Amino acid sequence: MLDAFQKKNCFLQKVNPALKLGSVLVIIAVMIPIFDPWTPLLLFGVTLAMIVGLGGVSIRFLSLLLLPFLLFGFSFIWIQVVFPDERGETILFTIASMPVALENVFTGVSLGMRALVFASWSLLFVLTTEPTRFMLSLVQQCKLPPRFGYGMMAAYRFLPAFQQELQQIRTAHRIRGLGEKRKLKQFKRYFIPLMAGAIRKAERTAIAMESKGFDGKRSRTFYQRIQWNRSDAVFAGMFVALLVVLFYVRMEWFI
Amino acid sequence: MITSRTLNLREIVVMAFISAVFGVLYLLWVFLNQVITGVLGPVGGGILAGSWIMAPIVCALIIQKPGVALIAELIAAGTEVMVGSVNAGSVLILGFTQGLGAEIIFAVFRYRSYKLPVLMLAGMAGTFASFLTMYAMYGYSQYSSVVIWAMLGVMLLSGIILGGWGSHYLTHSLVRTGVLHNFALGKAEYQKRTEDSA
Amino acid sequence: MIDIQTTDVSVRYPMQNNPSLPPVSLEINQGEKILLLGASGSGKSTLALALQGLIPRTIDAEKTGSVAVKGMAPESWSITDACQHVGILFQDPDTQFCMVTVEEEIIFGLENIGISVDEIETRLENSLAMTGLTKRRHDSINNLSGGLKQKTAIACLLAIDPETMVLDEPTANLDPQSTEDILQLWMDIAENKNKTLLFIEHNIGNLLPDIDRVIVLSKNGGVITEGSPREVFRHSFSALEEEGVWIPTICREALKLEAEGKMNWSQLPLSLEEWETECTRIGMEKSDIDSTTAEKYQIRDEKPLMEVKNVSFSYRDHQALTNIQFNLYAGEFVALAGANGAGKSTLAKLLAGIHVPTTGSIIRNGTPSENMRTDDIMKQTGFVFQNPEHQFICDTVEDELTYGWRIAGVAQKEWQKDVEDMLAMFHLTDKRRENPFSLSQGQKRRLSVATMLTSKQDLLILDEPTFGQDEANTSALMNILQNLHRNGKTILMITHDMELIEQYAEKVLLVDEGAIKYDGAVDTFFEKKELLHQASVQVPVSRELKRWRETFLRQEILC
Ligand SMILES: Nc1ncnc2c1ncn2[C@@H]1O[C@H](COP(=O)(O)OP(=O)(O)OP(=O)(O)O)[C@@H](O)[C@H]1O
Ligand SMILES: Nc1ncnc2c1ncn2[C@@H]1O[C@H](COP(=O)(O)OP(=O)(O)OP(=O)(O)O)[C@@H](O)[C@H]1O
Ligand SMILES: [Mg+2]
Ligand SMILES: [Mg+2]
Repeated sequence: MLDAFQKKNCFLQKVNPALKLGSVLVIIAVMIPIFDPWTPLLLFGVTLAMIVGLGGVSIRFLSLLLLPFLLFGFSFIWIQVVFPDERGETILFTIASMPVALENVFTGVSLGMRALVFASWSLLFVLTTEPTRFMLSLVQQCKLPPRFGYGMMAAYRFLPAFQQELQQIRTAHRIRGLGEKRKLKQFKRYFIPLMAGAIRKAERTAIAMESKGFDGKRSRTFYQRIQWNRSDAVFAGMFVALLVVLFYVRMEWFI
Repeated sequence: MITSRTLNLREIVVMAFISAVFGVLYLLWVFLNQVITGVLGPVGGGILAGSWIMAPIVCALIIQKPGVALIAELIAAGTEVMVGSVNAGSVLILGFTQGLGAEIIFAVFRYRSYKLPVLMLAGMAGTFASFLTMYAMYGYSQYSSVVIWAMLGVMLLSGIILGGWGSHYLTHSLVRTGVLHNFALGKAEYQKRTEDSA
Repeated sequence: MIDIQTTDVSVRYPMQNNPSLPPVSLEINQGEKILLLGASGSGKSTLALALQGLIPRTIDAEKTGSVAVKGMAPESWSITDACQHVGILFQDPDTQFCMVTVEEEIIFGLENIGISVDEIETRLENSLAMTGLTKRRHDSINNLSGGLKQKTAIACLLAIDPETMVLDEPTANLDPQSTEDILQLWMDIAENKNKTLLFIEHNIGNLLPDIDRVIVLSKNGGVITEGSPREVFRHSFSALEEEGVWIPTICREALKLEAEGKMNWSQLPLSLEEWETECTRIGMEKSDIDSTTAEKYQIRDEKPLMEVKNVSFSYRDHQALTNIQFNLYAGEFVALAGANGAGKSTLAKLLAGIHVPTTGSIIRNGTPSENMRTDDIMKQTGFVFQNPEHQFICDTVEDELTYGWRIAGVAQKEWQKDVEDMLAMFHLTDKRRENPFSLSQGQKRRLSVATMLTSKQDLLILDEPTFGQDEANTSALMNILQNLHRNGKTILMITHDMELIEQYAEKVLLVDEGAIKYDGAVDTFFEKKELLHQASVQVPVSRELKRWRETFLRQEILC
């Protein structure tokens, strides 16, 4: 499902995964001291526009992914309203003798939007980056030792298998005459065979990898090189510009 | 084979697979977590906080080498990013700090003791680290101190119970299957058993 | 020149009391094509690991004795060198991959040995072409059928191009045509490039004449016998039979005729061609009358146990089955045959209620399955997965075996004896306390089948229950199935082994490209040469031999 977008030939897909990942971390850092609602709102809007415009992701799909997050974001608002650090002065109305202050609503919205900004930048990364390219970029640009990169790749390959396996174990239980039982006891019943199987498979996979000559050293050929290119420069430029604009907008209007 | 203190490929792949299995369970968890958080607020979200730290503690307990907790948590985060987590950014940062939290405890015990209390302590340290991170990342400073302390309490408790005791319980059930014979924990248990029967 | 030499090499896995590979001494020359036979669990796969140095380099097992490949100890090689000296094709097709797509997997190996990108490109193209995977290069390995995974593994190995290749059951799970193609491919490679090939196989079919030497391992250690295939099968026949290893049908039949005094082979035939050449030389001709008493298959007019009506099924973006239609009657023994990827496993899963048809309907005992609870469907159907590991839910072999009884609440004293029998029959007695995942591939397969034999379901579906089994275990298993069948159980068995179909099945269902192409008696099935060819299926040797036998009988009458 994701891979349809990850494989698209759009601008964001061509940007170096390491760079995109870096941008996610920078955004998180930048947002930390911000408590007004407008900056995250603006940033959220820009991010969505980028994902749709530069990443070719359909709005429908994007909102589907973000929808459950709205609930999460909403919790920040009501907690802020009910348990603020400092209650604000502009009382809007009262619910059951509890005053609701505009300042607190604003802070709540700010924090909720912040969570949404984190999510949307994560999506910007996730929806436009093929896992293989991500791993290769970690190994080639971020100097991650190959054994970690390829080890993760092997586990990633097995993820659908694990999901199937969970289903499979459930089926095995049912076929062997045991219906569905209470959840908690059941959890161990599923978990242990799943884990035992995973560990055996992991060992065999590691053995197979070594038997194919994988020694985890850096001295290997890379068939696919993740290189720095023009897209990266453009993306970096855009990103810096975005931060600068954000900074000015904040300076001019909100403070 | 010489058992060195550095991680070999087999151990790395096993860690990645364990993390991936937890990753699959987390996918179900995350959904639960968001619902709980949405309804109960971040304090409620803290209930499940200990489960995020199970993967590194299970791995550390099985492999018993320096760096395992931190690396396992990072691998778990990396795998989650590959699957396409909506939380990719926070997961990576949290993964790092949480893993570091647990790792410090194991380091304090010089990677010698993996008894239940140590695991509980590691679980607690892990969730404490993730509390600090979330405090900064999600602006918890804006909440009243009641909420903050309640959240910290819930998270630490979850770290002790889910992260510490839960990992201990599951891993020791796993030992009984015999699949851990090739790892530190399995060997130690086997030795204990043969000594007992002798 | 000696390529591989082992002196009393023996391997013991940690925490095991007995060696998994009892001491064995072998000598294999450069360029030889060797067939390594041995009962299941005799340590063949373990030996393969020791030959590349994976034991003890990577696997924590205790090795004694010595191994030398090209005069060097494998464990002294670096990992990258080892893979160019000795390549292993692993027995389990699922866990030898670490990348997502076919192409990436092949490239992974090539990157490891550090060759240039251009060279990678050429080798990639070549190995894809050789295995017929060119069209599949961007497919995700997860979605390939068992046989295609096997081919992917072969392509990886061919790309790396090691000097010595150890092939651990390279054709388990392959359909007859692919089996022959793949084996032929290996023979050609060995011929052209002067490679040393070590086949670990239970059945090597028509290519036996190409094998230079057969080595038979004993369960108790050491080599029982070795020599050219002709010598081994002629002179050590009874020893092999006792050990329970595979003996080619053709040799068996030839020796039988000789024992009966009907024929005196100047050289023991190893393939049908050799048989025919020799017979023609002495002026005999295959009887062309269809002697097989052509038992007409009786369609039972009872109510069908299962009616499959117009069923289609798609995986996300792949239509696996189209308009399937057939009936299954109570008490039948049906074989489900077809090429790799034809959709057999998918169909079996539909019947067991594991998948639900995209369109169409399956009617069980008169009730459409839509109206039944999935749990109830599954409780009525025993199912053996193609991958044995999917079957396991317990910690030890014994628990796994007794699980069905324990769940059903049967008292221990009632099944105690049955368990012992079952363990003995499937040669698992000394493995009873082991974890199912630590068994050898063949042992796993047997255990997974055994777990389903203890249940009470009236329909039993088995997905390739005999792959990777030696002769003794195959016949033990088939005998049990036959007994169950006699007692009224309905059996549907997926298999690539045409001999089994010929011997045991009453009816054949042929699946080809997601559709049923044949549904009827076994005898008429094997007459349809065109259809068989199209579906990558072959006529079993024993069927041809039956006609020859007829000739010999008539000969006798004439004399
Ligand atoms: N990792 C392991 N730990 C413990 N025992 C093992 C392990 N792997 C294999 N064994 C045991 O070692 C013995 C030899 O196994 P091996 O896989 O080499 O047999 P094999 O000859 O290849 O059998 P098959 O024909 O069934 O594949 C078996 O009894 C098996 O149960
Ligand atoms: N989970 C899946 N997702 C997508 N496609 C699948 C999946 N499982 C199987 N297929 C595809 O469906 C087709 C039929 O697969 P199936 O496993 O039923 O084949 P089969 O007849 O059992 O083959 P084999 O003899 O190799 O086991 C194949 O082309 C396969 O690639
Ligand atoms: Mg084997
Ligand atoms: Mg199949």
